[in-house]
Amino acid sequence: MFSDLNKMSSVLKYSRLGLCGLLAGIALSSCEGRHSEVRPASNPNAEGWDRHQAEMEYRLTQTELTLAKLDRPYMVLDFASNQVELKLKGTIVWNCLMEITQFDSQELKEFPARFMGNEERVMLPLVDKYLFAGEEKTPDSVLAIVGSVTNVDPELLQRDVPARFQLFWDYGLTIEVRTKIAGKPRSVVKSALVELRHTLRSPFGEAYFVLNMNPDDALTLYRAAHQGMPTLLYPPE
Amino acid sequence: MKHWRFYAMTVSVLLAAYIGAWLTITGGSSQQGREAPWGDSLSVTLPEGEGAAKKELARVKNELSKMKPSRPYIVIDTHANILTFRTEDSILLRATCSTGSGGELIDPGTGRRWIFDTPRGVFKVKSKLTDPWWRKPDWAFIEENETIPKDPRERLDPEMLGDFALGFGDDYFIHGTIYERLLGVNVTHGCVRLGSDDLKRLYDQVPIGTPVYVF
Repeated sequence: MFSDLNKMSSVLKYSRLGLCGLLAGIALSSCEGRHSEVRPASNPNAEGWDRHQAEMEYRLTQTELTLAKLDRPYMVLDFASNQVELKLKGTIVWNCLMEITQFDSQELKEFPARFMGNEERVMLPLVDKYLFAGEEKTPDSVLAIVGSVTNVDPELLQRDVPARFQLFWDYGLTIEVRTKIAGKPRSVVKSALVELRHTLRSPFGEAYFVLNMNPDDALTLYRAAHQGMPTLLYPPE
Repeated sequence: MKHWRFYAMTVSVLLAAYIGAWLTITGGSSQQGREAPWGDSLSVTLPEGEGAAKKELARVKNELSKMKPSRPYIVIDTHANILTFRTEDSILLRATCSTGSGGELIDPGTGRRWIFDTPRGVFKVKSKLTDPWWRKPDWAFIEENETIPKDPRERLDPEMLGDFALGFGDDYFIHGTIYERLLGVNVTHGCVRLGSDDLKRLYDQVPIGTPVYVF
């Protein structure tokens, strides 16, 4: 009995070794094959006409063309090159790499999928933004000098550098931006309500992720993003 | 049996409260599917037939790419007070600037009104000046409670604009400042102020005709 088991285990051992050798051989031969080939097409449809793909590209380009003809900036969530952009007249005027914290690849897939939905939407207007915490950009001493030089109310000159804010679109889409600034919390009650909205939305489906940004970029995005701002989505490749 | 009814009622009330709260806080689904003011992008379809479709796709792509500048361009970010000289892919120069305050001035004598905003949109560098002199407009005197001079020579100020100025239309300039400490703050009357070193670098790199994007 014992010797039978021994035999069996040695047979298994050799067959495993053989299988590994076979797989390694196949892998090597396929690598050599790749070098010797002229240039294999990476996409089987690359040379064919993919109408659905073309329709999608056309809709995206036409929509962007419409937005580029307006005199106001629009936002692009570019999942193909992994960046958030602001564009004016079709030209990038601000861009920032999506440095995602609490990395969850599922959320990242979910966001563009939910944005596009079954209708394959390429654009949505920004519904709202909310500042959780911020810090005043200009020290009072500088504002005092400004006050003596110009006749402008120092209140008007002050800018909140956002420490943490959220951008909202329909269909349960939220992007949260965080900076390294600690910041002073804004309205505790309103922040709690926004958090509650987030919690209540979850069971109905949502896509949410957190981006890290430097304070200057966060300031630009927070101030430029306004309710109704057209937001285009370049889908991931 | 009584217990079962009580639990069912409690669950129903809690569910109704939950849905009510959700609708109140999220504003319901009224925003979903609303029509955008710039048109319905989903109704855009390619023409039938492969040839016509390819041609149309190429046409719109070409039209969009023609809108992009073929050379480096200036971007003035009035939100963060940052000026960049850039291409779509790289930043060639990044500098802290000062842009319009958004303040308002009314001439008590005539009722004339000025709003000190940096204009938003797309412009071009129209002029490049060295050692520019500022010809003070009326508001500069009104702001200081001074009488508007009749002699045009009394309007000239050789110091205020620094060593260089780049005009981008309608008397708006990118120029230097004697108030470098205020860079980064929205304090100007609409022009864009830069520190002297950054201004020199920009002046040296930027030809006339360079697009200027202000947002």
